[in-house]
Amino acid sequence: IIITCIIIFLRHPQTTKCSGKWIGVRDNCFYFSNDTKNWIDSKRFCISQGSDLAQIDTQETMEFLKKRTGPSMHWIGLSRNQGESWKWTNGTTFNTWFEITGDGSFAFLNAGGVYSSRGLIDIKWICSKPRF
Amino acid sequence: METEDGYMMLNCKNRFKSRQRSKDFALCPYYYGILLVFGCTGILIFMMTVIGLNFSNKKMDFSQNENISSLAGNNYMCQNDWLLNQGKCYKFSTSSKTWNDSQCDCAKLQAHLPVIHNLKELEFIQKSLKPGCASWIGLYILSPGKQWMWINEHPFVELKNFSMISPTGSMSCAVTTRTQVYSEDCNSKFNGICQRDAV
Repeated sequence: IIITCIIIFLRHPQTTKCSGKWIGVRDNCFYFSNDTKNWIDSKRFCISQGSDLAQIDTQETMEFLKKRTGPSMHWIGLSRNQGESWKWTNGTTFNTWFEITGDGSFAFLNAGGVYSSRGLIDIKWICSKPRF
Repeated sequence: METEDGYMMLNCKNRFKSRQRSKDFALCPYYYGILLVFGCTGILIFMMTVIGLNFSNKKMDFSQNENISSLAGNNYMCQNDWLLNQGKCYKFSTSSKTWNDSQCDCAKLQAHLPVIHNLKELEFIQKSLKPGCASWIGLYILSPGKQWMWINEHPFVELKNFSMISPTGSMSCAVTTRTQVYSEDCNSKFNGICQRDAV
């Protein structure tokens, strides 16, 4: 047992638990708000917590987030300028591995999928940050 | 001889019968007991189902009564899964659709997206929404220069607590959250709310 523990520790030396209300999925910690804000203010909140609006890289994470949100709409870290492609909040271009419905410029998700909006509505949001 | 035969026969029958009877009697406590138990349980189950059914019927009656009594005073009524407020029935959808599709869904139910006449109506709708949910209402604008219109073609009049947060591009449609009414792209997808007059 001691040996396996050491091996696991050596393999994942950087693994840390997500603190407080944050929930860990793979390499990231996620925060689900109870409050509601527009997209910009949600982003500001996440930044104030040392994170950013949620970036979603895997199908597994997407399924987890959808299940967790249920019918409530949650902002995620995807936005676009008019006529441009979707970008994550860290500036990387979204490679469209999932569909974003509608002509809006700010993305939110709930159990039904990922949708777009003008970003002004006050809904919930999800922050994400790397686990280590 | 005939009589004797007859007598014999009778005797035989009697004997046979008596033998059977004695057999029956011998088995009686056993089988009859089991039969009794089964019969009783059967009757019990039957009675319980009858009572259960009666009770559930009464329960259903109660819920209907509640629906009606909650409107006591005026004789307004809504169907089971609709909410009643100020003489109108509301149904809150949980599937995200464009403004047009939501309006079509309501039309199928002989209803329409909400036309809101006063602040109490707006408050009722907003309070009925879950936090983090935004739903279409029956308000739209064709182009920036024009006026916001209700789907019954009445112009929208801003009130103190009922204003629109809006940059309006071309055609826009209104959604409301628990706190505020916003303009959105009509092709975006949100939940719908259907409204119709109570009967």
